[in-house]
Amino acid sequence: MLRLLLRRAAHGILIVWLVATATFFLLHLAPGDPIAASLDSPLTPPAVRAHYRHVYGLDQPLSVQYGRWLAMMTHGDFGFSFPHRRPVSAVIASALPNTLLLMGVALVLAFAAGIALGLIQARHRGRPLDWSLALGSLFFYSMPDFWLALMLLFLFAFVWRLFPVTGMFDPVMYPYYGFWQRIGDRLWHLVLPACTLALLSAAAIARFQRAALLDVSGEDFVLTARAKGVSERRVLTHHILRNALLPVITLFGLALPVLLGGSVFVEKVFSWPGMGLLTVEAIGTRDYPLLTAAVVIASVLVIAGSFIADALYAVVDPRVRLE
Amino acid sequence: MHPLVWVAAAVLTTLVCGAVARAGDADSGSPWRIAVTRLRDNHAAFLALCVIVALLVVAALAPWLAPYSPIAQPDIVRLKNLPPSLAHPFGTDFASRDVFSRALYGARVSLSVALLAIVVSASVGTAYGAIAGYVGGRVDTIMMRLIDAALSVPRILLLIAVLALWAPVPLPVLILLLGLTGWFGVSRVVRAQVLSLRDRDMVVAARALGASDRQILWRHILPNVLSPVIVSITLGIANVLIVEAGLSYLGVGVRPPAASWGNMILDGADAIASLWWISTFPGLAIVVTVMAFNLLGDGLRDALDPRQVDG
Amino acid sequence: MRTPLIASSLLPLLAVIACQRGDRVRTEGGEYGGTMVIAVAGDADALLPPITVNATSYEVDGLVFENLARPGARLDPIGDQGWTGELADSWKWGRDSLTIGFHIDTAARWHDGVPVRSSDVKFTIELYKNPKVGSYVAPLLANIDSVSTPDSSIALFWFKKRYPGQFYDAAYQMRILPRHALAGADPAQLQSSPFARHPIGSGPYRFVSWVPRQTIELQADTSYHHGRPRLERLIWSIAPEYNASVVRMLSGDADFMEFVNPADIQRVARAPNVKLVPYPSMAYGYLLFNERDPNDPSKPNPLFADRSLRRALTMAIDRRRVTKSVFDSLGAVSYGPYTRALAYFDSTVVELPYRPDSARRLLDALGWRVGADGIRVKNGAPLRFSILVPTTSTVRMQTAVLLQSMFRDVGVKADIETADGATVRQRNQSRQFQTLIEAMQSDGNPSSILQSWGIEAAKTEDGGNAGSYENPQFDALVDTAIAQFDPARAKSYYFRAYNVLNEDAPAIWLWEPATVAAVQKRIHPVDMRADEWFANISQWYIPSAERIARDQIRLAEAQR
Repeated sequence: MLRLLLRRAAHGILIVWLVATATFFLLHLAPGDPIAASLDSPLTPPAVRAHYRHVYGLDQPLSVQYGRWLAMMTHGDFGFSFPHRRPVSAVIASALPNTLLLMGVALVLAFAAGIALGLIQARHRGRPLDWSLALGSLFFYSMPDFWLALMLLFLFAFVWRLFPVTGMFDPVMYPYYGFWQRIGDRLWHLVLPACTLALLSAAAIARFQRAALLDVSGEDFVLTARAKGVSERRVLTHHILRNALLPVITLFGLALPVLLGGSVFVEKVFSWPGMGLLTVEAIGTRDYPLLTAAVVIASVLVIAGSFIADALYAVVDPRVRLE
Repeated sequence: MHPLVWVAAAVLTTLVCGAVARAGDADSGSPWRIAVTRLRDNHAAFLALCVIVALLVVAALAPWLAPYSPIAQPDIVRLKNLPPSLAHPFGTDFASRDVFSRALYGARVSLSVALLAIVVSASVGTAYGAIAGYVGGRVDTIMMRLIDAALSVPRILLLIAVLALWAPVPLPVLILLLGLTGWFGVSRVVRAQVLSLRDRDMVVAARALGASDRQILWRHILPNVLSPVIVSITLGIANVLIVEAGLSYLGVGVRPPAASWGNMILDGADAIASLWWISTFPGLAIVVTVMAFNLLGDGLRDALDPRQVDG
Repeated sequence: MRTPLIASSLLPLLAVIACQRGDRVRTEGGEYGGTMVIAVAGDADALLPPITVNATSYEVDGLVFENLARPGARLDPIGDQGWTGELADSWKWGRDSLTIGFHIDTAARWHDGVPVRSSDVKFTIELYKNPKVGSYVAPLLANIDSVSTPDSSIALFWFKKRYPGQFYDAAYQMRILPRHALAGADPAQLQSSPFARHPIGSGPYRFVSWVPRQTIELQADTSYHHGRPRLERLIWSIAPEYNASVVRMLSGDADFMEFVNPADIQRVARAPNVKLVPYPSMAYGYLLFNERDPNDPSKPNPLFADRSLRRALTMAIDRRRVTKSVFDSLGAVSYGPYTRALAYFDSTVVELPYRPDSARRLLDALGWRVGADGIRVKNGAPLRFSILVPTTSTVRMQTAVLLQSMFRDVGVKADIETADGATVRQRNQSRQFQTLIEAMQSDGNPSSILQSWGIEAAKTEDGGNAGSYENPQFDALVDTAIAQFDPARAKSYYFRAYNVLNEDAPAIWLWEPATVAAVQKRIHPVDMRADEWFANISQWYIPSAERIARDQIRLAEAQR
């Protein structure tokens, strides 16, 4: 088991290195650099730009820059973000938790809603409720994430003015709130972004859950339980649901890339100060060190997610073993 | 109009004709016949197919259906930003252009971009997956490791970065990029299918009879891989539509004044508070189209699944 | 959203805005307190004046730090007419005009309680000029030789030569920094020094906190030497999405927004709690022709090196109509590289008129004949070029679409190229464009026109003259104007230079955007200046009767 884990970890590191290197060259070969993008005024003397290029080593050959960057990366140093004027690690440390919070809440919401929907649909299989729910969830599943966010913003913030649409807490009053008020304020700000993200993945989960439930309902042990006279409710909760939930849980890891991609747009529309927004801004300012770090972190998250999914699957289903 | 639109139309016609011919030729008991029957019996998927055909017709006939030119600016001072009315069912935008006409033309651009991109994805993905699955061994391991690496970066992030850094990207390159970032899933499906086919009796027999690798791939393996590829093409179109819209919304996709549904949403995004119609209608168009492709894809999956038994 | 936005409905709107102009009534005493939340799009980069380049940092720094003196509202760059002391309470010119001695207000204190001394001024200029710091201001200080400190309250500036902008450079280019807090910092690493994230200044507001990408908070310095500011707390709340700021203005979560898009003016005007305050603008937009070949900048551009072609294209554009379409009645047509807010604005300058027929005739005469598809052709090549615009600017994207159709009317095909802001800037610096729509923020000093249109700035590899417009006559006139000590004579030379520029049509001057701020009605702003809307913020106030929950937080409580 340990050897398997180590092998997976080694593969993971190899993949991250591949991704990081590809990103490095993709960025550094593109026209422009962080200095030109930040010091952009025509009134800025060219000598000032040259000065900063020298300070950050951007005037050196690409191979030298790559070697230095790789050495830094192995020491866990992501470099310095010129547009933020802070070390990349500090910039990320203030953004990553926000994204994890948003994604965590969205994941929980999505699974709760998805599993509930799947359950309702399976119970009413083939009846109007089933297909209208299926159609409804497909409707959200088929939406571009940014458009859903934009529409929710329009409806809930302009037309009805129910929810706040920026940031994670009240910029003024938050420090003066008590403990419970603070929790409430944060939840209040989470409603729209988390729901947007959750709506997008809940439909897929519901579909999977419904199929899993129907699969299990045909199994022998369910038929046996029914034949023994166990009540329909008990059959559903004790026999079917228990077995049908397990495959759905493995979706947890697979939902990560979807959520990561979705968070780019959702964070942008709702001004959520997380990794998605940070990355889009970093593209805009050609912040190479920050961008590479962001891509590395995204790929680590995704790889870890798929690893957890596999592991869960192996734990859940004894027939499957890790490779 | 961009010549690529005509290429897209030609590709689509070929695909549809091929499928129909295939279904017509086959005996009544063939899997294709069964699939067509199943699809017809799946009301939702059939309805989705009708919607898609209707959309394609609308896109093809846009110049005759649209009440106005999509780029004409009749009066940039007095006719701009009009709310929906009888004369302009979807309103007008900041340059006094008719949003309805632009949405019709937008269907052309968005659909042809999606179709062409998926052709690229499907070809690359099938070839890659087939090679990996058929050759197997170390090559397979390395090829799949590369896929893992590619899949570990969110596709949208990669596309935004490439398109922003090398902007402005011409339309054919945009299509190519969309295609080249969308084939990883297809190749995995194809590889799995090929792996399972490789050791089947017919392949083993063909090999024993001295057939070359190429013959085996073309005659025995690829035809059997077609069903999952068709399903992923259909679902893939839905996905590409959304991705293209997202890129155009960020201003790095289809370039103005050409109307794609995504850049139409961008046109109205900053004024959503005051001019809601500019962004809302093209968004609805995307949702309807994507839904139709998703429903059809699901229907096809059920219809083409050989393990599924009727009834 | 429910009423159509048509031109006629704007007339009453303008009346509404006009009535809401900034209050000029000052209620004396008893009105201290209150919190103002400022909605901004971008985070600050570093709160250190010599190196900061971004708008939010500039605003925050402007309130934490002080200049020696401030110009009047028209930003007259010659001499010291109309200037008021800020950190300095008086100044005296040397007999040969090669020195100016500034007397530092003895009541001035750094926010940590240390008195401000002349040695701080000396330290500041040395820091700005230190090549290791890499300040973009340093070249502007080239004519200042040194600063000496005869005593602790007098900073004596020594100039290399006598010139009209001496006072402006000494008093206004630098924000004075505390020596005791910065003396130990490595000049090459200033941007990552702790001071850059926790500045100590001498201005009306002291720095309190900065949550990156979320909020920056300042509090009134109750012992400020020009008198305690009335608003007690200022909070910059950062949200990149424009819509978010509008929502927050309407819901009352934000108190101030520097710029409302023309499309939203109506909606915001209807909100019961918000007023619109127009203020003079320092920005202007134009379509810039690249007179060099984008593929090989050493060669002239095959199209735009031709002055007559540029003139013809300029006459094809109805600038008034474009301005009206983009800004409704709130923008104004631009006449040249300056705005109406400045002392050197010239309304009498020669303008190329909108005459599409003359444009067509001129193009015919140049050999550009209308081809089969309606596009003009010469020697087999179509009259076709691209307009580069950043996707981040709605206004410029809209303008490009309007220009495109006006060019088409005279048989010219313009393609719109969009790219993100950084790409546009990069292609601007490397001259890789045909035409681009530029929005410039004037720095108020007319001499900086040479940095955008002078020969020197065209020849430098990534200098500010991206279109490579070169006319020695223009350079000579501006140089003469800069050397004038008499404002009237300086003006007449500048005006002659503007005429030369306009006759050469290096760009199509388009618009001065309407700058309309949105402010909560309970806040009473006073005098918003074109260069720094916040310059007089210490006079703004919230009457006690109108205060809401966030205004009730007292300073003592806030300092926890």
